[in-house]
Amino acid sequence: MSWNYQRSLDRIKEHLDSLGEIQIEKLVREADLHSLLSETCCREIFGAHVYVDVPNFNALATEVEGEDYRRVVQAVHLYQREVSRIVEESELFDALRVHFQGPKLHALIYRPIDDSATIAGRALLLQMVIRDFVRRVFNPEFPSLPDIAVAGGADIGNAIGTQDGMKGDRELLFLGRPANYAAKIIGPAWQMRVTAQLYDALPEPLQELCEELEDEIYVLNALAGDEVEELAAEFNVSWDAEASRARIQQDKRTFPLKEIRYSEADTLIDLDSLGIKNNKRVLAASLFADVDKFTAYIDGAKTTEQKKTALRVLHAIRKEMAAVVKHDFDGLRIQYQGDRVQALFHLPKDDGGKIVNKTVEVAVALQSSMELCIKRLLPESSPLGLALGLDIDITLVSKLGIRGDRDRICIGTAVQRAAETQEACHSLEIGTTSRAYSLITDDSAGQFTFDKQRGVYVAKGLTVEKMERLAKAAAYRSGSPVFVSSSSAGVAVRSSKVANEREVFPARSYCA
Amino acid sequence: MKYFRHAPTAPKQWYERDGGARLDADKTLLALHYPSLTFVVDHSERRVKIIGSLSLNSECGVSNEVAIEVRLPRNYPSSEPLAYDAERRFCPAPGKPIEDRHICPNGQFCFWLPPKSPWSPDDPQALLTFLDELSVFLDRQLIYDVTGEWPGPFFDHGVDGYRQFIIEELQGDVDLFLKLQPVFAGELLVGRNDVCPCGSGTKFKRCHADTVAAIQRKVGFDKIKTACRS
Repeated sequence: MSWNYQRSLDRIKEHLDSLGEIQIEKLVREADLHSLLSETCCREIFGAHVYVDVPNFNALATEVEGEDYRRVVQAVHLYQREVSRIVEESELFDALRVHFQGPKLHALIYRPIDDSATIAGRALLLQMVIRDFVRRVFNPEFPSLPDIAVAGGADIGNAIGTQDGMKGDRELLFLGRPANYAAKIIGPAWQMRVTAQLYDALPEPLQELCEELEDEIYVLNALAGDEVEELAAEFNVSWDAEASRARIQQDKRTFPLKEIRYSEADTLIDLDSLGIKNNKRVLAASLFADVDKFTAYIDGAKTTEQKKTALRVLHAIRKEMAAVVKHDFDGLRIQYQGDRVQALFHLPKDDGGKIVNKTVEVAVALQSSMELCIKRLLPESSPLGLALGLDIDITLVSKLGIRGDRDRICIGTAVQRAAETQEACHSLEIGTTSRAYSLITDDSAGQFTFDKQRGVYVAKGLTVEKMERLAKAAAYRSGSPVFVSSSSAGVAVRSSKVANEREVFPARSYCA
Repeated sequence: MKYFRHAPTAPKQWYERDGGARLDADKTLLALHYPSLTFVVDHSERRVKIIGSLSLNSECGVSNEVAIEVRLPRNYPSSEPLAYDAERRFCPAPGKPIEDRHICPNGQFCFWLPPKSPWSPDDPQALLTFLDELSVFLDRQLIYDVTGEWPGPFFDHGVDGYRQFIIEELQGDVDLFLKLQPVFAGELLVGRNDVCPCGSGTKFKRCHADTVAAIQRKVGFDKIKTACRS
């Protein structure tokens, strides 16, 4: 398992050759985005992006075992099913559930087309209803578990929608400020926040429910349960907590605790085989790789040609990141989240040191593909760079939700911290938590320094080539011989003999 | 009687002697092992150099091209070639002189302290050994680009390097060096039957005379004087 420059270069060229002409048009009529969008068929969509996160699911997925763990799995599954229904059902929000990023929902409200007041209103109501659902329905239905808390963010505006993957394994991607910023503004538990842009688009009665925080963020005030239902009804959303409770109870009967199983993994997890009855609980390293400044890059693209170029760059980066994870290092690509890739490494089983060091290698390989290959083949990508974050701990890996449209999910503290670490990093940086850092071997660990302000260990500018040179520096310091081979293909100087190389004892250098 | 003198003929250059045997042998070595490099013979200047680019390939497949020039001296192969950074690929690290990476300001690569040179004029593979050392040197330069520190052991720069060498030849005995330093510097003339300056009380010829002579031959009489003058 290793990264190779030429292989990466060839792969990216192949991606670019097979990509085809990208079309971008404004979405002007209602359409099923799953059917409409593809890698090359993209739409600029005006809509509200809503994120609702459940931070304590991560802790639960890491800390408990046995029957409690099965309860957590059941809870996650049922939560996702019901929230999906709330988002998608026509009498409710009739919106698009983009996906769950672990416990975090990403939804898009884009209908009626270009009707900003209705869209904004529905976005606010969606947050309100989900909060109400968790308080009044979900938590009481799971008394054995600690209460979960939700926190949300929403923004409105234009974003470019595209889709990745083949039939059965497609992922929608949305690129642009509202898709990105809505997640960034998520605050503490129970706070549902909206941006100033969304607030300004709200009908006045809904604006009165919000309070301004600092820096142009508005927070939704709390409402009693009945008030939520009444308000929702005024905006043609048939939210009924009791009906929701009935569905949850039915789901509990459909997915009883005794049929929920989880196991460890001795071999690479087959994500497609996972489901509510077959979950994995593994010691795993989570890695997030984000294209730093991509949102500004695509938002700064004013002409259609510029937007096409930005998408071309993104598709090349995305595909190469996935290929490095899967083909170069036998890892699991869990999900694309806009311009970010989530990956997981869990082998060799229970060997935290080897898992972390392999993940660091992958992170370095991803940086190498970006800096040495992508930027060479696509000079227009030069303003961009990758920011990566990783952590390791017990993680739940499964595929949960509504049959036919389930999401691959990873839930655990390592997933959360890896994401937070990545968000704290900038272009060219690899960040890691103290826990993961303690497992990194000396030669790599020496490249990380602790950033007090950010509270993470950071290495900057690492590539596979650089790491090789650092390892060789150690070999030279030891005074051992090196082995030289030379031909029309070039010169190679190695620390160990492979074939017919000539042995050279490096001279003790001098300068007059 | 008239004496007819033949007009003096210009002495043959090394690359012309024996029908150019040495040059041919070196060209064969180059074609076999370093085909990206070429010999260039300048007959008007009576100079021979090797030019071209070396592509240093890392294990991950990344390649770094370095343009080099190797100048063969007029008395080659008695004296070793000198290699140069033809396109000034390597720059000083911030806050450090270029010599820190064992390159002279004129771009010449400094492989070794001259007394430590492994160059062997009679070795038919000498040029190959030299070019291999050049490859290793360039590899170390690429490491320096990453670390900012020279990888591996080195002598101090300038006369300090020579002093370091002399001390090592004296088994690391700094006191002994300090006592013999005036002898090396030519400031103290010691006869073979004089008492050795090391303070042993023994005659110089039975004490350190041979050691001093050996070191002087290795370093060179002029060089050692310069290096050891206080």
